[in-house]
Amino acid sequence: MFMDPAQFGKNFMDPTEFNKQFYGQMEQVFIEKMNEMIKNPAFLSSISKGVETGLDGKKKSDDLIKKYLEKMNMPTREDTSKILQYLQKIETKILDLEDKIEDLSDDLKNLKKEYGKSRKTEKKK
Amino acid sequence: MIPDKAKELQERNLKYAQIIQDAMSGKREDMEKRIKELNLASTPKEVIHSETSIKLYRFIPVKKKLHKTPLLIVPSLILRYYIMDLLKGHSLIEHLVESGIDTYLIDWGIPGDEHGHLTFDYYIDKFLKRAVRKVSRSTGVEKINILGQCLGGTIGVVYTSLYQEEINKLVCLTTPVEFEDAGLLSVWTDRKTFNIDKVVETFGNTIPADFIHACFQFLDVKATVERYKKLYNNVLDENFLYYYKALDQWINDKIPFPGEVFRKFIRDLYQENLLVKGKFTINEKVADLKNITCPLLNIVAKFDHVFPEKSAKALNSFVSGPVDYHIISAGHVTLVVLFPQREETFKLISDFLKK
Repeated sequence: MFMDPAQFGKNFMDPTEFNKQFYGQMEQVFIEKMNEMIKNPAFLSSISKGVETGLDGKKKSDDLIKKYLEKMNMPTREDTSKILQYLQKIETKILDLEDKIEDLSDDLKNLKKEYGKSRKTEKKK
Repeated sequence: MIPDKAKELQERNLKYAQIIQDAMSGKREDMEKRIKELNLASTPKEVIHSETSIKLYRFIPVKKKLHKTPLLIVPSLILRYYIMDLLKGHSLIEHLVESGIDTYLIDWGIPGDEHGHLTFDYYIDKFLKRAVRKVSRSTGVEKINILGQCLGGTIGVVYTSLYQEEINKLVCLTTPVEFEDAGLLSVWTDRKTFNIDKVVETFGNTIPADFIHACFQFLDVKATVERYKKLYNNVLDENFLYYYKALDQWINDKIPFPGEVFRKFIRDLYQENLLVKGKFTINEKVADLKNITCPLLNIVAKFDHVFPEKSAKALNSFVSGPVDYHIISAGHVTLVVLFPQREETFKLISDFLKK
């Protein structure tokens, strides 16, 4: 049951050394057990059930808060998200248009170059 | 003798407790403050484009003559980008800039409620496509190089398979493509025990960082325990603390995951393994890995506890272009931060890009 004092040698009376050895052994056991547990299907299944219960609880509390905010005529998280997502869509549209303008200005530059070249060759003729 | 030791023990315990307490504060403003205090992500850069929380950086070149093809770095969505620019003198990005490579990086930022409706397809076809376009336009080069790290590598691989004509060379760092039997994460995300739809529907717009990261410390229990033990034993060593705090800051700088992106990542990749089956689609276009014809540098970590070697190595047999494959004797993160392993990684990347 108890550890053999001989294994600590001269350091037995040193509390720091004693603690180190003690926690060292605890650590080994902890790592071994954890490594076994995190691969164990029975453990994973019970964790999964725990997570699902937690998610159900969160869903219920979110619904309650939403109902409360709606009754108080306050914006819910869903409302603010909608506004933010709407703004994001507008930003994307502006950036898409910016890209199209860049492409069109490139095309225009190329056309101007080609036009300039063809005018030069016409003049030579 | 004993009183001296007791005094040291008290000092050690107090300092250890202080560091742990500091690390536990997950407030965003504290994170940004600590990044500045520790001088992390310090390679000079400028923002050349921004869209929602996403920023496209260009690192300020230090060489007059730059290599002709620019490089776009695509980091992971799981943690922040600055693992590749952790500390001055120990940074992959700093090494690339000093090698004369015109380096750009897409910083995914901190996803918020505005990202709730954005899908994986949107990240590829809008955010990344626009970033590639911006790099290409600002440098005047039609085909650019891409370097993807971790999940950013998977994003880079999918992008290259769809738009090979825009990519000159592809570098993958610890990039998973094969998700069957891909370590503990594939066991934990198995559809029998992990209901992805319920998770996304309950959390809504973003999956909280704490939910995602709760599992990471159990991927390698021994390493997690060793990390704290090492800190305790060296807590009075200022030199050790300098490096420890930098890495610890990055590890604790957890960010939420956009909900719909998370759904596709878990369902289509982890649960269905569609990428290697040739059935992974982006806006109804199939991301066929055979379409990748450009040279590929695939670097994997021998002791990767997040994505095992097998998961990253699989890419080699699917692409059609030439493959340069290397296994570094390091872990998922230490591959880019630990000396001397990182030196090998840095050299492989810069040599490949300058070839």
